[in-house]
Amino acid sequence: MSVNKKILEVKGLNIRFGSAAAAPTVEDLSFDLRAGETLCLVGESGSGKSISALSLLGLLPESAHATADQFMFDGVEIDPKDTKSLKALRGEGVAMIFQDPMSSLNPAFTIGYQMIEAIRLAPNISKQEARQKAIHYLELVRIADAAKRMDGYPHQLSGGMRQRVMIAMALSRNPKVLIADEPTTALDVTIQAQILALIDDIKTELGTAVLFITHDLGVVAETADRVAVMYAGRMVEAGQVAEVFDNPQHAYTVGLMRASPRTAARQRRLNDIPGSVPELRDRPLGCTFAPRCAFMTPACQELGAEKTVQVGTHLSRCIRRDELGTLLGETHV
Amino acid sequence: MSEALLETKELSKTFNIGKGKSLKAVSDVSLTLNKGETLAIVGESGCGKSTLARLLLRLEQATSGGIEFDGNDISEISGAVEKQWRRNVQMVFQDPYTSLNPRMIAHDAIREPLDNYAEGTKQERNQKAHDLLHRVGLNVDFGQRYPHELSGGQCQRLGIARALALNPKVLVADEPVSALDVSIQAQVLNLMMDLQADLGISIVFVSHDLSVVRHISDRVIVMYLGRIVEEGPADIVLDTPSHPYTKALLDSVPIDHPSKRRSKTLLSGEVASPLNPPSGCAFRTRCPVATDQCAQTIPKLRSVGPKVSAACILLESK
Repeated sequence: MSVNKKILEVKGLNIRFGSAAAAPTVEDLSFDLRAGETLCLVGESGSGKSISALSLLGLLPESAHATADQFMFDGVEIDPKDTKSLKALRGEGVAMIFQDPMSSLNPAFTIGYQMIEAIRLAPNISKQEARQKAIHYLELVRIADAAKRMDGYPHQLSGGMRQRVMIAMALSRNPKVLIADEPTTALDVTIQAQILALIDDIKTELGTAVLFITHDLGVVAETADRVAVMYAGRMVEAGQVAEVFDNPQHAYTVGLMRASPRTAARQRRLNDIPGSVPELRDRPLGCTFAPRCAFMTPACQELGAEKTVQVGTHLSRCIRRDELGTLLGETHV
Repeated sequence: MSEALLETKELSKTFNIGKGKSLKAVSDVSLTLNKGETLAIVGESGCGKSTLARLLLRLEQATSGGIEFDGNDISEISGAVEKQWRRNVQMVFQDPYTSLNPRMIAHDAIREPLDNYAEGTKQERNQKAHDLLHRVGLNVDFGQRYPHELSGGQCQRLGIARALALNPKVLVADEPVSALDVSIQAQVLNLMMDLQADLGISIVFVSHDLSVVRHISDRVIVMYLGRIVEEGPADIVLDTPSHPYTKALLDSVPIDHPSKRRSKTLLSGEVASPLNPPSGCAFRTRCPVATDQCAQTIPKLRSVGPKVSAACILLESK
């Protein structure tokens, strides 16, 4: 298996809403995804992580305009505006699972009906074959009594089971890329651990590339090979998971890590990030995080401060990235 | 400082769900909330933590058992007495948007409980609402805004200000930060810790997030299918758990650094149905160390270490 084969390559993706001249909601996003690896897109509400994922599937609303300098899927160049070509990718190219498995399943049809419907979108497959395939994939996601479950309805399943069904459905046409948008956020922590382990196994067994969207750095630490941190429409830092956690190169990443109660001393004040994510129309010049940043300098608010600099595999849009370590030492509580 | 403020004795709540069936949401819960402390109630969906919180607020009438507040039995109070008691215990909700009236500006939302109890003159009430806005870190001109003009974190600050308006002795917060982003979650947790330090209020903090609970609480109660399975100081229970369920729950929490990755012993299956709970220990169907004996009797909560109690027959009494 070619573990290092690039499946997806995106360069300079911009997504605008309203008109092609509007301010970009997602700006200059570049990333690639290789077979058998998990890339975590991490960020808070409004960072643009879900919209970016939807653009890969051609699922953006009509009012959206997506452009990219380069958009390659499995070696083939695709125009991100061309929803027809993107639609053709769905199923065997890219499949997606969502946060709320209940609202992703149709409550009026059986699990089997919905699985078979998805599988038979492929040409030349009989109902019988599709049924066998559906059962196979339900077993793959470790649903006990898969054949019996085929006749059940979504409401008869727990949240964790529904998410397994969604994963089975997504995998049923053997996609090269699985996009998981906050797939465990609605689940209890013990069930979250089960689903994370399942997605990890699938990645290893089937060599699927996983784009995992989350707001939880704990989930990133648990599951990512590489991580991209997004803030207000821009990727502000990206790299191998270990290098980003060991040596964060953007003040926002540091802020996120220090705001987590996981890493703080008990019952001490947490290092919160003051203020909130700017609205699209209020995004400042230069670094979008500057107004909330403890280490902001006048240069941060000048045009050009948002430029990406890459050292090895590690990318950052922070002009003070080299000083962050020292700055953190000085302000430590 | 451990002076009991709110105490329950073998509190139970059974819901009739029709067709002669009933659902036991909370079973024999005895707990004590001391003055000025934060008591966390943790567990997975359906463990009864929200029902327990509602019982403490008397939003639900208990099926059996007693509740005492400041030494007085409040399990049967009603009418004017109950209304006066209510000012002591106020609630902060999970979803800051839906718990606010969309047609009421922030200032009026805070003033509403004061109007409701006819506290002071109108001018004094306006002044107090103004002060509370400031107290929870909201800019004073936010008082004229409607909830939809506020962010999630700002709405939650407003929800807290409103809960504080009547100077309660207890805040019951049901998942108050789980709908918020991490950076905003930290702001709201800091606010709650500050308020507690300044006002000396007690907090019942209902949450499924163990890292948040470890951070903010003094004591913690772990629930499974309506019963307390472990109880004790937060640092002891969460750092050296006794009950197999607490252990499993903690083991499921995501790690904080990729270097700590390890293969986990995952809990198999899911929480059993509360309509048809397993005999004996409700956790035995998922428990990695369960024995035949666990199906025989419902384990009692007993002391298993300094200040820690757990309900598991496999643990030695201490």
